Amino acid sequence: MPYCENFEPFPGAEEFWSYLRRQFGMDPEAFRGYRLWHFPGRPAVWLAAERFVPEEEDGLETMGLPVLRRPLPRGMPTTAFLQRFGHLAEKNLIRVDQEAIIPLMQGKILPWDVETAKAGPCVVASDLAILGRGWIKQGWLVLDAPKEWAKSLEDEGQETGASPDRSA
Amino acid sequence: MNGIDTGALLRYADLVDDVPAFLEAAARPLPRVVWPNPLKGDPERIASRILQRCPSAQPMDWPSGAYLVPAEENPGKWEEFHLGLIHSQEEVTLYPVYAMDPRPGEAILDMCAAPGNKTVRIGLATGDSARIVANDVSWQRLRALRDMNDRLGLTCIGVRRGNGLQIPGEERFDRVLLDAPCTGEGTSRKSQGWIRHQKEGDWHKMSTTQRGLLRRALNLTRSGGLVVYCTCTFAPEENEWVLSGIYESVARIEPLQLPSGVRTAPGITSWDGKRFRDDAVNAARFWPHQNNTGGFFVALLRKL
Repeated sequence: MPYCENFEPFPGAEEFWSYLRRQFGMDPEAFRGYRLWHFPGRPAVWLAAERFVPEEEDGLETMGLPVLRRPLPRGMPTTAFLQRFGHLAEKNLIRVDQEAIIPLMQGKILPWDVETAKAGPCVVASDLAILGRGWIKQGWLVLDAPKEWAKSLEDEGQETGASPDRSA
Repeated sequence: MNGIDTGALLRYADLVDDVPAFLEAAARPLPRVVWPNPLKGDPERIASRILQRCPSAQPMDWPSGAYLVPAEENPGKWEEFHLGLIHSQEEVTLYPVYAMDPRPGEAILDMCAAPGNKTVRIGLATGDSARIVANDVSWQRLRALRDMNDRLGLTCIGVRRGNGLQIPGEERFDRVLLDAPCTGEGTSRKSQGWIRHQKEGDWHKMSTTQRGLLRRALNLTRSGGLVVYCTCTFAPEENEWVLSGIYESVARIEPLQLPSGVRTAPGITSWDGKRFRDDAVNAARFWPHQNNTGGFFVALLRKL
């Protein structure tokens, strides 16, 4: 098969699918139409459509959607991956109200007294969309929100009566 | 001497059906298309969010669930945008991908891809199931493409950085999009009606680059495959003259399929004493006043 000189099928694919089942209850069968790839010597892992088999001459620097920035067990699924596939989660899935969306996206933390999440990250979802990767830490819910969201959503946040931010 | 104003557009007065309407439209702020991302949920539900956000938005026949929003709206600041539920782009930039008609499983090259609006439309048109190579020379602009891809959640796009002229191989792709670097005369509506005056040498220099890229695009396309050549400029030197640099035995220019209701003018076959390919008439010129868009040029070449 004419694999790209740099990208290769990720040898730890089975371990990753098992992790998704264990942590989020995601059925690996849901990823039947995809393959995992990596760039040997670099930590990131990428998810690509099954039909996307790179050719050596493509000389790619990225491929498909990033799923891990560094390997398991320390790495964790990216926000991009969870926003696309988080709807498949049946475990460690936190549903938040509409009013919580903007504060969380602005990097604010919300009180969360229901200990639904076990160790490790959770998928934070709302009726609107999957917000991304989150954590429950000592009674607070945190969303790993890209920093640029906060500035962009500044105006909306002023109208929401948000909980104290992380620096508070 | 360089200056900037829409007066520069008078150079094309003899190509336009209604010069005052053209000049007036070229200075008007540009509305944007907001479309729902089918990879992130039910497009109809997302479309209803768009309308909630902007009640004055006008529904479009194509793409499905898309709306035209006024220039003063900034959908890039909506949370729906950050979450990848929607994307926003200039209307006229949708049409090269419509004309390309990409299919699942195909190998597709976007030769000058950044910032990536057309690339992601290609990806969605294939149902996120193809091999799409997105190339650009600018690392910074490729970052915008990668961010867009991650936000929208596509798995069929790979990014490479380099000069399009140096993409290796021959006949490797089913379809190639060449959205060529150009003088950008059609983008005045994004800059309050101002454009940079060009000197004769500027068009010539740009068209030399464009001809080289188009030849390379055809080299990389399989026999029977398609190349979409487009620019956001009006200058015939950068459009029909570039097409005329391709031997008719190498590729023919085919008529474009566009969504119903989209008005265009045909490509021209002569201008300013220059004669172009006869089948350049099958290319499409998008004048700002015809569809309330930016200016654009699109041609579809079938490699023989």
